[in-house]
This record gives sequence, structure tokens and C-alpha cells, in this order.
Amino acid sequence: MQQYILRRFLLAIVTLIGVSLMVFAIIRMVPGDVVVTMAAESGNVRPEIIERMRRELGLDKSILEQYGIWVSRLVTLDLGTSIISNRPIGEELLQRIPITLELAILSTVLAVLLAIPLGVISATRQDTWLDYAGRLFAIGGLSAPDFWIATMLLLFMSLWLHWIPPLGYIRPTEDLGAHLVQFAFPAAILGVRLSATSMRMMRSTLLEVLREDYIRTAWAKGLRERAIIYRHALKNSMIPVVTILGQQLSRQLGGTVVIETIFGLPGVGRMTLDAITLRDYPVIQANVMFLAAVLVLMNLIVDLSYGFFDPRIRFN
Amino acid sequence: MRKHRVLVFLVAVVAVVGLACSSPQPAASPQAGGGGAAIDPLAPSTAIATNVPGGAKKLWDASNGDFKAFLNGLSRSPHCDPSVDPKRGGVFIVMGTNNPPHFDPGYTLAGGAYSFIMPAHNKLVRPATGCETNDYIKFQVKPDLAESWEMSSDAKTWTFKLRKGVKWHNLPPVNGREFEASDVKFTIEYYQKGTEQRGTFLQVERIEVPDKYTVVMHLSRANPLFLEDLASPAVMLAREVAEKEGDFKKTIIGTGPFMLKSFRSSEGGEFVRHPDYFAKDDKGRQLPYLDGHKIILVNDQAATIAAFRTGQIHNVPAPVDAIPDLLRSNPDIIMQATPGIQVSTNSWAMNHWSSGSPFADVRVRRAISMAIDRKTICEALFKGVCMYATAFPWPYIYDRGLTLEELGPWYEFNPKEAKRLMAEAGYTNGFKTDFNFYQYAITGRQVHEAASQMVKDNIGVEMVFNPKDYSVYHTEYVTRKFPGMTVAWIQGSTTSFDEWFYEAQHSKGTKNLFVVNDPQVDRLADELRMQTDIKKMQEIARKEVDRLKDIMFQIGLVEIGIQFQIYQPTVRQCHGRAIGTSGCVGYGGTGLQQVWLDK
Repeated sequence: MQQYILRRFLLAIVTLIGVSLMVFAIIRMVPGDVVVTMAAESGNVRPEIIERMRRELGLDKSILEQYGIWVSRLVTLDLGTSIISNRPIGEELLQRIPITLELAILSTVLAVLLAIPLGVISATRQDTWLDYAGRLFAIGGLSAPDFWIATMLLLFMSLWLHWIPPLGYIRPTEDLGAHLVQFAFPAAILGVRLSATSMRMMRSTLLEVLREDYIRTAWAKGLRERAIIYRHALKNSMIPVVTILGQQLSRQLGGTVVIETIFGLPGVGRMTLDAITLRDYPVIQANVMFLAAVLVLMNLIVDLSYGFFDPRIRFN
Repeated sequence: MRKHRVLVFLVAVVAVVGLACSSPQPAASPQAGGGGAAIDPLAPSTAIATNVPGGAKKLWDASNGDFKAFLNGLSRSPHCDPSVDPKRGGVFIVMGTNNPPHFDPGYTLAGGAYSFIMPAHNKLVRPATGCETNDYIKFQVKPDLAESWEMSSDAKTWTFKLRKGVKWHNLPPVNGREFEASDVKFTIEYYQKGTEQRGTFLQVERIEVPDKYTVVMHLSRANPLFLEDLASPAVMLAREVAEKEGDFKKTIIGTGPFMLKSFRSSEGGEFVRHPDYFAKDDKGRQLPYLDGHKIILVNDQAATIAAFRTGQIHNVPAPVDAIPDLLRSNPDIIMQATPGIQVSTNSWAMNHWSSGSPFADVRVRRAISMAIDRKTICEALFKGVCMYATAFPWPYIYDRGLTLEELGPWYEFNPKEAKRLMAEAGYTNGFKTDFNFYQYAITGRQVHEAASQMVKDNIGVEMVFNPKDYSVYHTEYVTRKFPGMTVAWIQGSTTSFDEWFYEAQHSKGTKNLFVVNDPQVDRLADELRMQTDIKKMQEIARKEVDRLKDIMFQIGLVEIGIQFQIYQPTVRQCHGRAIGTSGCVGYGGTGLQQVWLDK
């Protein structure tokens, strides 16, 4: 197990180096010059001003030199400073990560609480109205875009209830109740969507497992349905579901831009989008590296969890 | 062509139904017979005041669903009753859509940044706002940090006497010291080194500070309108901030009515009143009336409207189509209007300087303009209440916006003549061209799409839409590297006469984004800078505009004819101006000092 983890860690470093090269190169290939964009607001882009700004921002150095400077700071966890705002990126990211993390965790927990029971019911009551209802729920959740659900929710709540959750982030230390209410709605919208995919996976893998010989044996032995499902079948169905949930959680941690925008939550997603719009290279690079690190870590956690669900899996 | 006929037919049906249901228009409006923009800039067309709670709903009911009559009837000013004492207290909450990149006015003119900069700062002079004026079109200068001023006879030397006892915010590193003349010198010199205000202040050759409260500015040219330049977003800055941090990107410290208490990127910020603020109202009462101001950053229109509906914010920039629903759900809202100024992003620039460009031929430019049926677009998209954009701010030189007829022959919808011009220019079958597009607003997209379809149908010029993101669009536009045509603007937040009529139009101008290169325009712009008499300047500027309308380096389309503001029924004395502000927030944040909440 330890060797496995060490191997994965070394692979992670290689992965992250590859990601750093890619993000550094790709963002500079995208059309749109950050310095010109900054100067462009005045409608007046004098070459001498552009040159001075490039020098001040270190963008006049060669690409390799810029990369070297950036990576050498990155290994010491110095994420640099925003070109646009001059604020330290690390501080900004540390403020935003908890918001995105909270949203991601809440939505994932809700997804699990919905997906697993619904998937189990759907599989065990296959081709009944319960199954159809569950599948309809899943199709609806997959089809309806989350921004549409969010917009409709806000519209109808404001019209019919004359109330919407407070927009604009409220810290838990300011008002815990309002904070939880504020997160409940976006988490619910995201959770419902996430649960749709997981529920379908749960249903299909459980159906497969329920057709296995050992389950038939369990029935023949006279075990109760509850014991068969929860003690034998469910655990063996969880691996694909956990894989999907892990991927979804990773993606959530990268930030759900649309939901953050609609509900005014200043998460990592919005930060990344703003940076891309303005070509704020250091922020984009830092956020992408953060997301890459999160993905690598989540994949490792998911892989290690397989051993819990299936003791036959060995990490050597 | 078939699609265009269907569009025109549908719009004609809508227009006929609308006209049949409309109430009679007042006969006195000078634009009533013109091209659809039937708005008297200064007076609403009915006696129903919409600047009081419930007034807008009454007007809507009286208008029987006729948008044109409704928009024309909106009050043009806030409700001002000198017999009512303003109430103190409360926090004025608004939603901002744009995350400020930073707070340095020397390096940004972004509206999002100025939402935070303006409430905390003062300028030497400022525009009249709120209940200080009934005329929200003409620029009226009021003393701010300067209490008086003198212009020399040649309009090249300006002497300002500053108020005594004005305090900076009591925040480190400035720590509440007194504002003085050296701060003015520092600020102007800082702007001259930056990117955004440099063009405005390069005219200042030398600044003298003979004593703590006197500033003398020597200009390189005569400028009787220098006060307008100073009333632009040129807020006064504290040198200690720059000494400590190198710039003003992170810290907001001013002399203004509100102090920034907290700010978080993409979240918003909160202000508290400045306890040592210098200004008082005309009855000697301390300003501001409010305890604070809050900006929540949410970049979603539906969420913003929902927040307004449920009372979370005090004003909302809603589109025209949202008004009926808002009036149904919130019948007590206050609505006010200021006339639109015909300056918008609803215009086109053409790359006429590249070798072989068809746009180098003035006949092609005129033909494109004449192929557009602006009246139809006006009716279809703006309910008949619109301005025809020419990219010049009419309040500087006219009493009202110009009708389509008054804009000249090239604004007339005349596809036959347009085809003839194209044939003369050698493009009988039209041509294909790239069109760089950035969506500033949904209605903007609709205008561009409708107009480009008409141009294709009528003269065969096919504009291939290339949607670009903010960075690419701005870069290509400002560096003049767009391939064919582009959505166009001239820097719009400033109030400077010189910027519009010289810098943007002279072949050597620093903001000549349309690459105007015309000897007549150059001569007129040079003449403008030699004038010391404002009336003569206006005369020359009108001639310049006439010439620009003739050579058509820029094709103006259609824009909504008024800017309207919607407030909660408790809001008092918040109002925008035709140029430079919308409401008392954003660039109009100066006006926040007079706002109060009636609750």
C-alpha cells in the first residue's frame, strides 16, 4: 500500500509538471494581449506605454525565463501576484477555496443522499412506477441546465413568495443561519444534477450485481431483501458510483462558474473566469494548477477507496 | 430579402397595433414629426409623476400598455420637496455586475471600479446632481474641493481656491490629514504618467502651488471647458498611498462622503459614512444622510431583478421588457428617466485603412448606412423610443437629440440609392466581410443582427459575425487590427468636450478609434482648440459633426432613447445625468451624498 501511494505521488509530480507546461503555453497562445487589454480602456494604446507596462510586469522576458521564474516560485507555494489587481493570488485563492469547497461538499453529500436510495429503489423495483419515477427524475436532472433551474427558481420565488435567498456571500461568522440558507439553494440545484448521473450508474450496476450467482444463492438461502441488498449487493455496486462521484467532486472543486455567478458566491470558478476574460496569466496558471492538484488527489482517494469496497483489490 | 420583408411586416403589425392603442402625443415636442425619437428631453409628456411611490404604476395603467407613451411620460428628475427634511440613516444597497479589476483611476476607467472609487472621493469640481438641478442634460459644474476658480482671458491659466479644513479619511497611511494644494499637483502629475486620464491632463503644462489652498494650472492650449475635464472621473488622490504601495490599485482613501470599510473581489464591498466629511446641504445639514452604502457583485440580470423584487437592493438596471412584470409585482416602485445621448456601442467602425479595403470608398460607407431601416429597428426593439446613434454627445451642442431626418441623407433608409452607390463604387453584387462582435448587451446584439441582415438583404454586403471575448475584441479594436468591421465605441465615461471633438476625431488624436483622416475635420478640430468662447466652440463642433455625418467613418445605429432608473419606493434624490452617469451610483457615485431613505 505504501509503495502504491509513493508511486502515485511520483506520478502526480510528473502530471503536474506536464500540466504546468501546458497551461503556461496554451494561455499565451490564446489571442488577446493582457497588457493591451489593460491599456485599451483609455482607447489609446501608445507603444511606449505598452513597453513600460510589459517591463513592469516581467512580460518582456523570454518565455523560458518567465516559466522558470514562475515554477521556481510555485514549488515554494508562492503563487505570485495578479497582473490586473496586484493582489497576491494565494490570499485570494485561500478566501475562495472554502466557498467552493463548501458548495462542492454540500452538493455532493446531497447527491449521494439522493442517488443511492433512488438508485437502489429503482433497481429493486425495476419496471414499476417507482422505477419510472426515479428514471424520470434522472432524465430531468440531466436535461435541465442548472443555470435554467437556478434562474427559474429565483424568478418564481421572487414572484410567488416575495423572497429569495440572500444574494452576495454571507460568512458563517456573520450570520450562520443566513449563510446556510444561502448555500442550501445552489447546493440543492447542483446536488440534484449530480445525483442524476450517479443514480443512473447506481441503478445499472446494482441491476448487474443482482443478477450474479451469489445473489441468487443468497435468495435461495432465505436471506431477507434488506440483508441481500445492503450487505451483499450494494458494496459490490459502489465502485463505479464512487468513481463518478469522485470525478464530480473534483470538477466541483474547480468551481461551478454559472451557479456561483447567479447566486453571487465568490468561488474559484468566478475567479478563474474573470482571469481568463482579462488574460490575467498568473491567476489562470495558479487556478489551473490548483485544480490539477485537486484532481490528482481526488483520483488517489477514489482509487484507495476501492480497497474498502472490494477487499480483493490489493495495491501492489 | 424575404426574411427582411417578413420582419418588416411583423414589425409593422406591431407598430399599427401599438399606435392604435397609444394615447395622443403632445403637439409641442420638437421631435414629434421626426424619425421615431419623440421625446422632449426636459419634460415628461404627462402630468403623472413617476418619481413618487406608485406613480409609475399609475402611468403604466394610464398608458394602456403603450410603451412609447409610458417611457415618454417618465419623470425626468427625482422628487424634490424642500419642505421635507431628509431622514438620516440606512444603507443604500445596489448590485454591481462588474468585478473591479483594481481601484487605480490612473489605470482604469472601468465602471465596476468607479462604483467603488466615486463614493469615497471628491474632485475639484463636480457635475450638479440629485435635486441640485432640473436639467440633467446640460453639464453644470458645482464646486467640490475647489470652492472658487478663475480663468485667465486667454483660457490658458486656471486658478483654484480650495476649501479649508477638508479631511482625508482617517485611515493609514493618510490618517485624516487635511487636503491641500500639493495633493492636487500630485494627482494631476500622477494622471499624466498613467494610461487612462493621461489624454485629459497632458494639456496641463505646469502647476503652481503658491499656498496651501491655491492651485494655479497653466495649460498648453486655451481651454474654456477645462472644468469639464476636472469634473470627469479625475478624483483627487492621496500621495501617501502611492508612496507606500506604488499605486492606488488596492487601497481606496479619499475625502469623499463614504469610507471603504471592506472589499472582497467578486463579492462586493461596504462603505460607512465619513464622520469628518466637509459638505453640507443647502440648509446647512451635514452630508451624507446615509449611514452607509453596499455593493453586492452579482453578474446575472435575473438574479438582480429577483433581488430588487424582494427588497434586497435599492435600485435595478432592468431592461424595458422587464418593466410590466416589475410594475405588477412591485407597484410602488419609483421610475425616473434621463434622455439617451446617442453615444453607445450600437455603432460600426470599418477598417478603411488596409490596402484594397472596400470601406476606403465613402460611397460604400454611405451605402451601408442607407441600407439600414433604423425606424423599423427602433419600433421593433425599443418600442419606438430611441435615439439614432452618431457617437457624439448631443448635449454639448444641441438642446435635444437629432431626428433621423436631421442626421442627413446618409441616415435615410434608401436601398435603391444605396444600391446605386455600391454599383458606382464597383460592388454591384456586394461583398463579404468579417464583423468583430462583442456583446455589451442583449439589445445591442439584436440591433447589430437586425441591421446587418438589412445590409445583406439590400446591398449584398454580408457581415460574418465573429464573436470575440472581451480581451480579444478590445485588443483588436483599440490597436486597429480588426479585419473588416467591428462593434465600435468611443471612450464613454468621461465628460470632456475636447476628448469627443478633438482627440477622437483629429487625425493626430490620441483616441481616434475610427481612424478619421479628413483635412476638414482636422481644421475644425484645430480651430476648436483655439477658441475661448464656448458658443463659438459649439458652432464649430456642430460643423465638425455635420462633416463627420457626411464622410461616415462611423455608422451609428439605434439606441434606446432614454436611460431609465428604477428604485425602491423609499429612495429619495437619486438621479443620473445624460452624460457620464446612470443613477447616483457608478460614475455617478458623487450623487450618493444627497441620497436618503424614507423609512
